Amino acid sequence: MDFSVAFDISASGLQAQRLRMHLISSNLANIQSTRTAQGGPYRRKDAIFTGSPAQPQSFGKILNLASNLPQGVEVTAIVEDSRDPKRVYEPGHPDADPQGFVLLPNISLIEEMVNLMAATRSYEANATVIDAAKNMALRALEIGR
Amino acid sequence: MNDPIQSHRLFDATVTFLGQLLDFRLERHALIASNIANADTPRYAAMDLEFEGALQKAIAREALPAPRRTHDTHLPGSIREQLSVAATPVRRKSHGVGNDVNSVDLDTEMTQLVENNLLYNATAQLLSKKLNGLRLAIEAGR
Repeated sequence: MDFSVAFDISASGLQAQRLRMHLISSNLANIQSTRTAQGGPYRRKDAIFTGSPAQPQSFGKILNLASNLPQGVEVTAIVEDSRDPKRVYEPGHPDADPQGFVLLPNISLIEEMVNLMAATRSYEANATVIDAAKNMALRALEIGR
Repeated sequence: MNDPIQSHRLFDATVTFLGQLLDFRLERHALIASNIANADTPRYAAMDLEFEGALQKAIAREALPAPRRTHDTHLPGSIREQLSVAATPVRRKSHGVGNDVNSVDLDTEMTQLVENNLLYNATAQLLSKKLNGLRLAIEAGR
């Protein structure tokens, strides 16, 4: 165990939260998008977080500790929301169906804002942890000075 | 531990123990960092090291009578010189709030982070003072 492990873990947290933030901004930017490369309206995207071992471990050690080891976080998948798109009556819209309904992305502004705040707080928490690790490392360097 | 100068005279058990303590604090920091990084990971169970419990156990072990050499022809065994404290990570149970089965409580983690950080600094300072004392002796108070 050395300081780089502690830094790596928090850095993975920062990375994951930043990616989540990118997805939220993408969702907010595309709240009205009716056309995508895959066809149909834009679908809300979300990141799947998974814990991952922070350092290469020997098999025996992992077996002994039954995976009670410090873990970083990893975005293993970006998934699309399966909720149905909203149907809005807008006959003048070029993407409207014969009945005059347009399919709009099912993105809730409030939900995205709440997620945005949560991601920001998590990001800050990880940054604070890095700061603490840095302080510890500096203090260790001062031993015997 | 075989070198008498290293283990008995200059750097006694306190220095070794403080070194171990720093290692422990770093390990605990990594676990707290792990908990905070995984604060949004579904089904993640928070981990922690129980240091005080492990220390109590180590002290209790130390209090047991140590084997002594009662005759000069007996083989010299290793004498227990220092406390060895080993703490294994334990998982914390979820308090059941939230629907992602995640037992990380950010407030608890941040508090423990600060506490751990302070104790690390305190330990480092103790070690520093100890070594400064040695230096003072080496330099004969100059």
